[in-house]
Amino acid sequence: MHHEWLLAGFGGQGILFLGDLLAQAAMRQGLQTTYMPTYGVAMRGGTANCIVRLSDGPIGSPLFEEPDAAIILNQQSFTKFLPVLRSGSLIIANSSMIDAENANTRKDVHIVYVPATELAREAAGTERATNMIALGAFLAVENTLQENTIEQIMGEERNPSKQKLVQTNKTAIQAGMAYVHKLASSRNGA
Amino acid sequence: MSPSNHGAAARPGTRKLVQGNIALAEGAVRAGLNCYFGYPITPQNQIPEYLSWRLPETGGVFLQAESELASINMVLGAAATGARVMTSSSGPGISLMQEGISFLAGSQIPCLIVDVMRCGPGLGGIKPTQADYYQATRGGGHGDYRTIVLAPFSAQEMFDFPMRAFDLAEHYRNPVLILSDAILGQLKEPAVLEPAGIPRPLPNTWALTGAHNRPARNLRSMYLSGDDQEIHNNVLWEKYNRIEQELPEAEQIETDDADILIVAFGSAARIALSAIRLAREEGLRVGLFRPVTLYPYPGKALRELTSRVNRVLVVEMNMGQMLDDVRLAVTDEVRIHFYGRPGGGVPTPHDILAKIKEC
Repeated sequence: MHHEWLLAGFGGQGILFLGDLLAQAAMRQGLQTTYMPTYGVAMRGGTANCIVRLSDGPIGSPLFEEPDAAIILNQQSFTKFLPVLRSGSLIIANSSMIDAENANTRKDVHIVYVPATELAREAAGTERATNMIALGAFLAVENTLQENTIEQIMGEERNPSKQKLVQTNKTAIQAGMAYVHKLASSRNGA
Repeated sequence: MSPSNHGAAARPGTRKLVQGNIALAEGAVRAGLNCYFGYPITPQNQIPEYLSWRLPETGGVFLQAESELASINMVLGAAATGARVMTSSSGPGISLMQEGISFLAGSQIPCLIVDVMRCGPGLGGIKPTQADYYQATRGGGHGDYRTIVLAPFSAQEMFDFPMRAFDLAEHYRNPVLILSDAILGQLKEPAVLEPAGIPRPLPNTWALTGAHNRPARNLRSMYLSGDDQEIHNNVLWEKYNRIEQELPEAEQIETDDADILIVAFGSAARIALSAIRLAREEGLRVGLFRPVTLYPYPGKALRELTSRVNRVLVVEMNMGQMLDDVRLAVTDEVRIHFYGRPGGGVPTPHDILAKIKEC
C-alpha cells in the first residue's frame, strides 16, 4: 500500500495544518508517512500545497510525483493540478470556489464536489473550517484513515485557547461526512 | 524494502511527527549543546527559531549574531572554552563562514556546523540542492584542511547526527559539518526523539578554561617561526589519515542481488530509493550505496562492492561533485554513469529509472 495525497488551496485556508493532521493520523495508525510542504514563499492569499505520503513500507521520495488523491480548495489549484493527477484519483473539490460545471475535462478521475466554504459557514459558523469540511468529505470516501484517529489527535489539544477551535473542527468534519453520505444516498435513491 | 523507514521504525520509543530542522535542533539540545550562534536564512530558519526558546530552557545560550562572519567567530570563541557549540546556515551563509571554519580547523577546535543546502551559485534560490558537496568535503576555506562531513537522509538521522557530530568533533578535535538540504530540512516524518547515545565528556587537555593551578594553554592556527607551520600541518594530516582509516561509513540497501548500483547521498538517496522500487517492479535488480560520511568518503567499501557490481549510476542534485570521489574509489573496470540536476532542479524517481535503463 502506498498513497500520495495532494492538498492544495489558498494560503490561510489551513492546507498545511490539514496535511500535518493527516500525516499524524497515518503515524498513529502505524503507517509510514511523510509530509512535504511548499515553503518560504507561501503566504496568505498565495497558493499553498503539500504532499502527504502514506505507506506500509519505507518511503523514499517525499516529493510531489503523481498523486492518487487530492483535496483542493480553490480554482487556481484545481486548474493547475487536475491534469497531473493519476488516473483513477479521488478529488474532493471545494465547489464554493471551483466552477464545477465547466471544470472537469477528465473522465478518468472521481471528483466529489463539496461546497465546503458555504457548509463551513452554515455548520461550523466560520469559513475557517473549510479545510475540515473537506477533510470530513475525504474521510467519508477514502478509508485509509479513520475519523476516530483524527478526533483522538484533536482531543489531545491542551491549549485552552485552541480547545474551542477543536470543537468547531469536529463539527465541521461531521458536517463534511454527512454531506457526502447524503449525496451518496440521494444518488442511490435516484 | 529494507531496512526500516530510515531508523525510526526500528528504534524503541515514541514516534513523533517532526520536521527535519526541528529534529536536528532538538538532537543538538539532547547532545548537550551549550551555545548556538547564527544568522537567519531559508531553508534552515526553524533551527534558530526553535533553539531561541528551547536552548535557554536547558541553561544554554542562544544568540542571533549580526552576520554569519560574527556567528562563526563567536563559535570559535565559545568552543575554545570546551563548550558544545554550533551554528547553522545555508549555502550563501556557509560561504561567508569559510574563513572562520579554516581557523577552527587550523586551531583544532571542535564544533558543529550545519549546512541546510539551497540552490546557488550566488544568492540563488530556496529550492534544494547538493551543490555544496565540494565546499563541504574539500575544506572550503584556505589551507590544507578537512572537516568531517555527515550526510543525514531522514528526520531520524537529523536528530541522531548532532550527538555523533559532537562526539566526533571532540574525539578528533575537529569541526564537524552536517550537510543537509532544503528537502530534509522542511520534510516532516516520524522519528524517535530520544537519545541515540550519551554525551561522552573527554578529559579536558586543551580547552581554555583559565590557567589556575596549571600551565597556560594557547589555541592558534598561526606558526611563524622555523618549520613550525609544516610540523603543525603534519600533525593535522596524521589526524586526517586516522579519520580516513576509522570513520568512513555507508549504508547498503538491496545490494545483495544487485546488478546495478546507485550511489547517492542525502535526499537524492531518498529519491533513488523510490526509483529502485520502480526498477524492481520491472524486474531490474538495483541496489543503493549511500555514503553516510562524505569526508572521509567510504571509498574502500565502494571499491569492494563494485568488484562484484560493476555498473554504477551516480545520482546527485548537482552536476557531478561526489562523482569525483566515486571515480577515485573504483577501478577502471567499473562503468560509471552519472545523472545530476543543477541547483533549482530535483530528479524524479522516473527520471532516475530512465537512467537506470541506460546503464
